Amino acid sequence: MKKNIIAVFSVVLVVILLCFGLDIKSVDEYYLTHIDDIKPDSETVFLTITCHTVLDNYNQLDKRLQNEKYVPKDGVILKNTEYVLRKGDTAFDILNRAVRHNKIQMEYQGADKNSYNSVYIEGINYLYEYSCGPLSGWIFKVNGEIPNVGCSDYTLKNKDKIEFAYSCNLGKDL
Amino acid sequence: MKILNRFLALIIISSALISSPLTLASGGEDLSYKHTKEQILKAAEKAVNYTKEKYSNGEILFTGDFLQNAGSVVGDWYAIALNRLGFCDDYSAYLNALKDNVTERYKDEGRLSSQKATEWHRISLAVISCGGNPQDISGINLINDGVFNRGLDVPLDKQGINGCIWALITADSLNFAEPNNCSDTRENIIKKIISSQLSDGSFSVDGENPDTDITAMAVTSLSPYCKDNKTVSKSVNNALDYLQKAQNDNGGFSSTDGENCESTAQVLIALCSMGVAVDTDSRFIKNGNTIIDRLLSYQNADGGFCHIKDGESEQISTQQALCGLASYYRFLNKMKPLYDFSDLQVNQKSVDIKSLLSSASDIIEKSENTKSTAYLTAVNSLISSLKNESFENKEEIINTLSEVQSSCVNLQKQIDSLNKEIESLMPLDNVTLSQKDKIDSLFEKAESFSDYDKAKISCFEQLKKAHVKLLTQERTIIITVVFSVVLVLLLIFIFTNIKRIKNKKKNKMQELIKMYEDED
Repeated sequence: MKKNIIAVFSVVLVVILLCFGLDIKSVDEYYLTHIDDIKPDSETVFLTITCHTVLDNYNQLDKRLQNEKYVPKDGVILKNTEYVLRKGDTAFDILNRAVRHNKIQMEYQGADKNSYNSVYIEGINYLYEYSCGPLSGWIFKVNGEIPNVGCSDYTLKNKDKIEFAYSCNLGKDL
Repeated sequence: MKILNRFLALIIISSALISSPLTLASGGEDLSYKHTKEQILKAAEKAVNYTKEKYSNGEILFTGDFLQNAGSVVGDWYAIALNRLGFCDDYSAYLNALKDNVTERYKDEGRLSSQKATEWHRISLAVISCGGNPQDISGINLINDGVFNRGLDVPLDKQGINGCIWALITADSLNFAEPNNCSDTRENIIKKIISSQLSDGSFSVDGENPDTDITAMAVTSLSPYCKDNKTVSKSVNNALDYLQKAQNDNGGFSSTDGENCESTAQVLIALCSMGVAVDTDSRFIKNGNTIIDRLLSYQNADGGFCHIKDGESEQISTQQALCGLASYYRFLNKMKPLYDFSDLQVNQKSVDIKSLLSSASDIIEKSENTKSTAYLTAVNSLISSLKNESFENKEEIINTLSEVQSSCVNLQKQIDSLNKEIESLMPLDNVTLSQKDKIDSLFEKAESFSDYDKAKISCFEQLKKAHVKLLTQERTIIITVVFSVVLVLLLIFIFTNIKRIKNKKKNKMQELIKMYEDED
């Protein structure tokens, strides 16, 4: 009798373990919840958000922003992070997903409200254009180059390295 | 000091008196210009029609969705350009939308902008263009806040010298009086502008590299002072020399990213404000090409203007080109320069009551089907336009519209609070089942919004992800439990059966044994 009870319980335990190991969901659900998981064959890009130049021009910085909360000591707001590249992703799409995910403040002008028909990044982490002198603002680079289109017009490809960097001199100090 | 004051007063008074542009040739009428007024007007009308079509607005530009642009770079320059061209449109609708935009933005700490004084300047010029008073937008004084006393809060040139340039243009647009003890007077704004000039006569964004746009804007802002102030006129002449050299062989002008429509339009505005006859003045004709020739070449077949030659038409290029065309049209008609509003006339043309009512019933019907904040701007402007009209069932219709309005406002509040809640839960990577109720209710709320409003919900995708994740987790648990229970029952059943069968066999055996025993 005892043997039987032990047998029953061990079988039940095995079944429970098996079921928790399994992920019971539909294909759509699987796709939705795993879209941003990095797998060996997934296309990815790298994103960094920095503000090193502010550290060199700290005296020019808006007094209210002279705080480590806004300008980290190492000038890095988001360290180099790998993100899954979805089809048709622009530099802005990646930035938008990254800041939301990491709870970094961001403000931008929509694509319909500026001259280049592109999104214009006004501020990240409370650092805005002109916060650190009249030539300061956000600039983005892809693989070390500053593209001549707006970030929402720049379609990324596999393994691109994107950097959103705060410049205090129209990008010449980057 | 007294002399200085008197000199200052003279500048101010003269700036008010200089009304007509400094016409170069006294016999200007006799000069046969390459482009006629009609040509310029036609090009401008085509450009305006391009934008009207873009917003499918029919005869009136300042109506419907276009009003959402009030207070932004996209919309305001159209208001300015259309007024200066003398075009008829629903300026009062745009003015109402501007007032809403300004009062809403004044609730923020930075008001219109924590950095850019030019927000005040552009909006002030748009307000004036629509026949409004920028010194009193529901008690807000844009002129003092954005020009004369801006320096108390943030320096005018925080964004560079263009902050000063546009402050001066705005101050002189209707010759606004300087308040006592203001942080910036015209005199020191002019000083700041001139002292930023580079040795080659140009002005720049960074204090080092010449920039065509800024040079042109500086000339425009200083133009009213040239006649009576030698320092200013010398500075402007140097700037004009620079522009003359900077002109391309095709007549156009370049900025840092190459030749473009907006830079060309800015220079045209500057030259017209100085009274330069751009179609005949040899200084600004290169290889027979004038700046007008080049500007018009940026106009596409659809009527819109493109940023870089042969590109697609776009809003900013089109409105800047319109400002350029307006300034030249005014020059040809011997009217005041583009930003001198002392001859202000607003050719108001309201949307007729019939189409107002039809769009009202349209919106009421739509909002009954789907609740959305998309109707807000249109409803606001409809209410303010309909208030001044008389028609059947006026009270009823306005009340219904007000209900739609308040439901839009309410919806926006819901979206804002939802966003706050979602953001407080971010990153939603490691949600646990204990949070399921919360996530589900947030997701349900978010799902109930229209597509237009869903786009306003931050992290909607992450929320959906978390929701699905928890759903599958819960499903897994339920399946596991059900499966285990069934299995336990099955096993018990099997065991008891086995026992029974065993017992039966045992009994049978015993019976058999008994039988054999009995036989024995």
